[in-house]
Amino acid sequence: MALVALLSVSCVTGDYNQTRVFQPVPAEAVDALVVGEAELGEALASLGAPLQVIELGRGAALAWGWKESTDWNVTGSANIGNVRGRIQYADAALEFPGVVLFFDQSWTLVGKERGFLSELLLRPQLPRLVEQDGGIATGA
Amino acid sequence: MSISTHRPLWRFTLLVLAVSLLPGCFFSRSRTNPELSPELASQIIPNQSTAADVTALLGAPNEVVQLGLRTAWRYEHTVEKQSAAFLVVLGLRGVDTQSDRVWVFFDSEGNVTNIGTQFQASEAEYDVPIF
Repeated sequence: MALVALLSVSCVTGDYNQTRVFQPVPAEAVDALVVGEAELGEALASLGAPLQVIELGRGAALAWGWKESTDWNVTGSANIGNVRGRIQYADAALEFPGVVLFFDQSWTLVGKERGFLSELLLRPQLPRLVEQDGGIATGA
Repeated sequence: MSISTHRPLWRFTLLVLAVSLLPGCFFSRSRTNPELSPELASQIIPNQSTAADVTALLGAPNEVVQLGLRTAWRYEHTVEKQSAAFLVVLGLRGVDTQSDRVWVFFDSEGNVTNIGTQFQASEAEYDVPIF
């Protein structure tokens, strides 16, 4: 009876969300890229266009990211007398998993990491003079 | 030949159930930037094409990243398809975002050194999730 009374003055709504953003790159293709040997052209040919390109020191970081997730969002509210209450629960995944490849100034792969892009790309970058790039190899 | 008198009532009940359980649904599609085609991208040839060639083919890039004296240009066309159904107090929503993306890398002279492409915008789907 109390439950019926409570339900009559309350409202519970829920959302079930499914999100897909871009598509994962094949793990085998990432594994096939050998650090110290693979070059930019090989990485682009096997993984396609990256999501982001970031200058990192004299080299660059290229990031591929995607997201496939489902989440719940439940909201409940009730008016009992003069008191109004509201409670919300959400389990949305905000992280964006992906792969980051690090290249040196001659576009040779020097590192690769998997994880969440927000963590992989948040690296301190120091300002530098671009004139220092004069005379180095500029092609891949 | 007998005619069932239960049939209209059964249909009405089904209709009432359907209306009460599915009070709403929607579909939407949004597109960002012009479409990119593999044919156009294939005309950009490393060690041969220049920045002027790329601009003539694809127009102004969506993003330019400075890499020392070099640059990388991004072109992106995005399609987002969204669909949802509302079951009285429960909403089911599916969002699919896919893109066509082209990155063109230039040397300090503005010559194309590399190109990376992907064409997945047409793979975006309407998909209402079911548990």
